[in-house]
Formats: sequence, structure tokens, C-alpha cells
Amino acid sequence: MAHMVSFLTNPRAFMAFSRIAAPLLGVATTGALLVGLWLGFTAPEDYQQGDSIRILFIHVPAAWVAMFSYLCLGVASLLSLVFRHALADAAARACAPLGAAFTALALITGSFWGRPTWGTWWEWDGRMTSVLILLLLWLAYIALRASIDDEARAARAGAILALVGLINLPVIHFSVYWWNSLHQGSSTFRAEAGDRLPDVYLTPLLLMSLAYMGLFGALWLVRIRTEVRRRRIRVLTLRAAEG
Amino acid sequence: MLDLDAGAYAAFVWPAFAITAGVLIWLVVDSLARASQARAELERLGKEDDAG
Repeated sequence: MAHMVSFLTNPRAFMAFSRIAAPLLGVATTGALLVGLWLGFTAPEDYQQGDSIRILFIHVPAAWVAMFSYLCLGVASLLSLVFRHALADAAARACAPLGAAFTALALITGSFWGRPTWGTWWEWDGRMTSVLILLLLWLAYIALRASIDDEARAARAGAILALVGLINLPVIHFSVYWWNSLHQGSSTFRAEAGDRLPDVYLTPLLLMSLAYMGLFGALWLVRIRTEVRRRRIRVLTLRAAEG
Repeated sequence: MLDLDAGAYAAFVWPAFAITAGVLIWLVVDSLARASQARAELERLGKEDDAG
């Protein structure tokens, strides 16, 4: 634990680690993506949903990563707020564009799946509305940080917003059980026997989910590295300006 | 057997995949471009990128 904290506070150790980890994750992601897509497009069409079932392989992974990335933002924000770790704040800031993109993808692909399945592009039900709120939280976080020049104040304000927004994660997860919803409940790990996806769909779904997680991880590392460099450039530029 | 014929659902399946591909490719290109810019800027400032 102490080693992990020291790693998180040490940009140099992080840069050495991420220099190797990011490309490795990228390679693993490509492999999982190719096999997942192949299995996804060789799976038989669903007896009820026909070929629209294939949207499953890009919709569910996007939704999982959308929530996972917000959890990452929350943890990074907590470490930044409580321990003032510069690297934790860099991680939080770097996470936001990725999380916003994956959340937007979950909403868009869900809409393309909802139209043929439910007969509507959008419904103001608990699941869809709470994921829309997640997207608005990402956009608010990005806008808030961009609107404050003082980086320390921007980090604090962003961290508080991110932590308040964490309450939305259980709402998204349990929304399909708390309220009547067009959206189905779990059909993967926690599903009851009759609702569970058959392996012919579950296997490509899990591979695509690994690919999405790997992509998020690799790009997050790349963006944290860029954020560390950006801060270094800022310090150097200020020093040069001061003469 | 590879099944790329989405039949009646093509109007929903292919735009969903196309938008996903577009967004993911944009994320990769944008992340790498920003990384490359930051590296170049550090070099321009005469600092070796010793942070890794």
C-alpha cells in the first residue's frame, strides 16, 4: 500500500512505468478487439432481435467503461483533494475527455439499439436519464476546470464536483431495478439463469469489454503523461518569463 | 461464418459501429497528437525529456 502511494506521488516512477505499460496495453487491446469483432460477427443472429443484437458488443462495453472511468475520476479526485498529490490531479484531468467520449458512445449506440428494439430513440426513464446526467457531469467537470485559471483552485473545484457526482453511479446501476424501465436488467454476471446471455454472445461481449477497458487504460496513461509534461512546460515557461 | 449482412437492421447497426469507430479513432489520434506536441515543446524549451 505504502509502495503504491509512493508510486502515485512520484511522477518519475509513473513516467517510467507508463512508457512501457501504455504500448503493451495498446497491443493487448488490438488483439482483444480483433478477436471480439470476429466472434461478434460470426455469432448467429438473435431469434428475437435479429442482427441488431450486434450493437450489444459496442454498447455494453461503452457503458461499463463510462461508469468505470467515472469511478477512476472519483478515486483520483479524492487522492488529489485529501493528499494533494499532483499526479492524482493530472490523472483526474486526463480522464475527463475519455470518460465523456465513452459515455456519449453508450448513449448514441443505445439509441441506435433502442429504436428497432423498443420503437423509440429515447425515453426519459431511470437508466437513460442517469447516463445522460453522467455525460453532463463529465462536460461540467471539463468546463469547470477550463474556466478557472489558477490550477490549484481548478483542481479543488473539479475534485469536489467529481466526488459529488459519484452518487450518480449507484443510481445508474440500480435504476433498472428501482424504477419501471424500458432498459433490461443485467444479462451477464449477476443475471438469473433464464436472463443470462448464451456464451456465443457473452464471449465476444467480454472480449470487447476487455478491449474497451484496455483502450481506456492505454489512452489514460498517454494522457496523464501529456498532462505531466504540460505542467513541466508551464513551470519552465514561467521560470523563463521571470528571467 | 462471417455475417456482415445486417438485413433490415443495417440502418441501425452500421451507423452505431461507424460512429463508435470514428470516436475511438479520434480519441487515439487526439491523445497521440497531444503527446507528441508536449514532447516537441519540451525539446523546444531545451529540456531533455528526462521524465520518461
